[in-house]
Amino acid sequence: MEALPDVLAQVADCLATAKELIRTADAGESLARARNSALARLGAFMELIKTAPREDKPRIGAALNAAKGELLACAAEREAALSAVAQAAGVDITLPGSALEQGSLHPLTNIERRVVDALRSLGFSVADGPEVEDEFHNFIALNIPEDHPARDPSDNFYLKGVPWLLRSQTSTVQIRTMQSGPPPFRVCAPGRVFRPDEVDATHHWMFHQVEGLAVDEGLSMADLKGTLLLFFRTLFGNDVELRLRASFFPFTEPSAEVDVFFPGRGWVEMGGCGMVDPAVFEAVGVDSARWSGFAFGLGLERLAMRHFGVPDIRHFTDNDVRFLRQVH
Amino acid sequence: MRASVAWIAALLEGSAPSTARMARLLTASGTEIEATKRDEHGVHLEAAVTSNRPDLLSHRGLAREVAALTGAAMKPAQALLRGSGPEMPVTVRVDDPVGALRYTAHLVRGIKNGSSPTWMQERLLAAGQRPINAVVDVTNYILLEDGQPLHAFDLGRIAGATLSVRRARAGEKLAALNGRTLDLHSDDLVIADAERPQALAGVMGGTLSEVGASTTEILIESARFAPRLVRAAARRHQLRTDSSHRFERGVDDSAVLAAGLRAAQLIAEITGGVVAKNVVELGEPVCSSASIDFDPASVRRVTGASVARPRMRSFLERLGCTVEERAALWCVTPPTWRRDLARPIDLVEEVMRLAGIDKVPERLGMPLAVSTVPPLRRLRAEVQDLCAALGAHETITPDFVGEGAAAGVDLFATGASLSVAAPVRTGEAVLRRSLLPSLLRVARFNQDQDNGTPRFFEVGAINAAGRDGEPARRVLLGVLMHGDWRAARAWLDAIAALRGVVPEPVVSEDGAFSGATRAAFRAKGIVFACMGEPAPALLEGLRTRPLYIEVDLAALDALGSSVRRFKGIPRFPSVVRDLALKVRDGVSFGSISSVARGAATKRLESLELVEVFRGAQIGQGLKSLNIRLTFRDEASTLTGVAVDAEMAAIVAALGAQTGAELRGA
Repeated sequence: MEALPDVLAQVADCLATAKELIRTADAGESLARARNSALARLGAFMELIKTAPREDKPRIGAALNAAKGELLACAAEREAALSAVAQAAGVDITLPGSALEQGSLHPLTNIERRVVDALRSLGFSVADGPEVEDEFHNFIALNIPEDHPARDPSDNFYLKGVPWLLRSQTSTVQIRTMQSGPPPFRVCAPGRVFRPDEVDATHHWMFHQVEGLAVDEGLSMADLKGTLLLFFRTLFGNDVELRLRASFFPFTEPSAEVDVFFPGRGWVEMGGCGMVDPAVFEAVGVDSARWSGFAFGLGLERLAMRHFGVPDIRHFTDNDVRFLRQVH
Repeated sequence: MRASVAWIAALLEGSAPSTARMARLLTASGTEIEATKRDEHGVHLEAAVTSNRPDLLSHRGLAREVAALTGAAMKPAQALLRGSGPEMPVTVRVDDPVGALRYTAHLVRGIKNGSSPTWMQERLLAAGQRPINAVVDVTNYILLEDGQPLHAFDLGRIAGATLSVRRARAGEKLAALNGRTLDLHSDDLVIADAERPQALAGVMGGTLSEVGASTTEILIESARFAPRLVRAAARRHQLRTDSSHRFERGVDDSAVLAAGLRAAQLIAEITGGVVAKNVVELGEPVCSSASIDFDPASVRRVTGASVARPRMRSFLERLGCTVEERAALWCVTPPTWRRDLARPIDLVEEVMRLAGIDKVPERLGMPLAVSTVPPLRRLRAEVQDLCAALGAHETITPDFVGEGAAAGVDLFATGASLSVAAPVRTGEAVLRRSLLPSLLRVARFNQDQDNGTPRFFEVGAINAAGRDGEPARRVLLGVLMHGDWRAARAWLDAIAALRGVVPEPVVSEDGAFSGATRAAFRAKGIVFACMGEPAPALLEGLRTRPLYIEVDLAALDALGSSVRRFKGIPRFPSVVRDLALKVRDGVSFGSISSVARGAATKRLESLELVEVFRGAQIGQGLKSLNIRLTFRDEASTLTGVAVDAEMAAIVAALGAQTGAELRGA
């Protein structure tokens, strides 16, 4: 162990060198480096304390603490001086911002929220339903009888060893809603659905739909069309137009496809809709002589692809962070 | 269905609408024309016929629809003369009347089966059908024109001149016309001769009785088979044919006999043969449809559109219905080819289809209504916003995982795993019970794209078979991140704070995590989250070792309210003291914290960990814990003396209960 005066002299020496370096440092890197290396060197003296004679320890410690304080004060002073100079010269306004770690919501969440917000503004409540369903909710109550081609195993994901399947449409939530209590109902149900389609740029075996259902006294297809018009205008802007084309779905009658006209882009297919089929009301015990209703459904992926200019549906499930950072 | 425009036009009286108008009318009325194409055989339409309209799977059906839409008339069908040739001795038996609802056959002899006439070949080609020989071409022609599938047997090759319609017997095979040999199933309906099956009913014929150039006598089958059986057989043998497609959806019973006779006459004409006067007719024909009591006012009630009664009547009649107006209700009888029209609502739809469904007005009169959201959906949105704000990217991943380690992860013991019976498109069959395997897959994908190690999160439902035999579903939040335990814990704390709770760690032994780095977390006695480093078996292909947090959102939601109430702002200043402790490695921060809290009065407002470190300067088997204590008195400014007393009590208790020593003392 060196003698106490020697240690103290070394500390003072070290401090003097460091202060000189700091006083001549320029902004940014150089100042930080000078300060940190001096702190490290002072830190090394700490080791000396361990082997120092007991009576010397407090003095060495005190000297080190004082030196550290002086050093930091000196660095702060230099930093202030530099920043005053910088301010006098004006900030380099071309400096880039420092990195900010931003996360993102998935584009499908974004679209789902827009759709649900628009429907909520029209008085629709939000309902959830399970992805694993029984045949009653996925088929029977939706007026899809045993022999119907839609029940073909090659068009559905039936589950092994249980009488359930992955729902092929969010219309199942219509049934669950109507079973939940007496009408009136006005709900929308966003969710995942599953159909064994071959995966390509516009198809995936898992996708998302939003279902809408309204049941009340005296509802007609005119209410459906009016509601859809308000919905699409809330969602896309006040200048879009609506068109119905006749179609077929087992659970609605009359049924129609909905097209929306975007100025400058023409007609775009949006989804299906119709009046709740009396057979559906019967399956869930709603008196169709008193109540009537309408339902509609649209695919979220298609909406999101159009909205964000995404050419391939597979981007949504790849979750490449370069995609997620761009699109939300 | 590919349909020739010229063929449709030929069935209409007068001048047919232009192709574009035809396509527009059909599309607007429910039969989407997906494409209009021209090739060397003419112009054809690709019509997407919906499953309720098997009557449109023919040129006559499409022409009828166009006629109904435009008000044009159909050309009258040619009168059919029954055969007058000598009887031909055959025996036909239906052993299975459930499978063969109707079975008819016409017989032609003395044919020379050359090629069919040019006009017929042109039509077939325009409809996408390759000409083969006169007999086959005629059967295809009738199928395409009238929608009735036919089959011609070479009678010379039918053993015993006997046919029976029955189920296949064990071990029977059929050499089918497509060159495959089918192993028949006992549910398969077959047409068999005295020795063996000669056709799979409604699906495909066999090569043994195939009509060829040397054929001189034929039997033309025109039948109606049970849709369910045809569908099952077509699926079982993976044979989707024009014939099975139509039988599955249902053919017009009243046209069965006529289609066979028409084919027989055409074949006789073309090949120089003679139609025998004996005809096989088995099964009862269903020749009329049940009438429907239709309230014309219901059109207005259901659709909001006003259609004048005479127009309604005319629309229904154009569709082939007979309408009998009574006082309030009309008695409407649909044509035999429209089995889909059975209820009053079906007629409402027909009237609107013809009036134009887009004529439905827009009414903006729905009453105001309360809009509610399920509580879990609210928390889901809060969690999504929080994680994105904290710097993670939300993912949406499919529900399937492969067999093996990934399929076994079930951090909240939700239930037995479910798998799909036929994972045709997915390649993987098992439904995930945790979001961990999916997020690891996302991490691997991004690693392989050189995207670094961003944080990812997903909010999604998982599904399993619950112990009660019902489906069990849980909505989970999964967060995958890189960093140390404290960084991950900070995320968990922020998530738990959404419901105002502080997670309390408990020992976890879940094998999905590596043994040294895992814990479950509870609050108010309920385990709602877990966290750890995924076990090596799950990290295959990943070069980094991330940390994973999974939260059961329903459990978290039940722990508290989303509302954080105001607690007041302290009126007196706080005093902060730091403490550098040296403790044995095995002493946890949690025990230090609880001993310190136990020893202090309620003036101890908070106790934070500043730093933990180990090293030679601390000593083997020891660690240093720097903690920061904040004291405050609600009613007065704290004095140094009072805080010294608190500190002394804390230090003494820590020394006694945990063996902690003050560093630098």
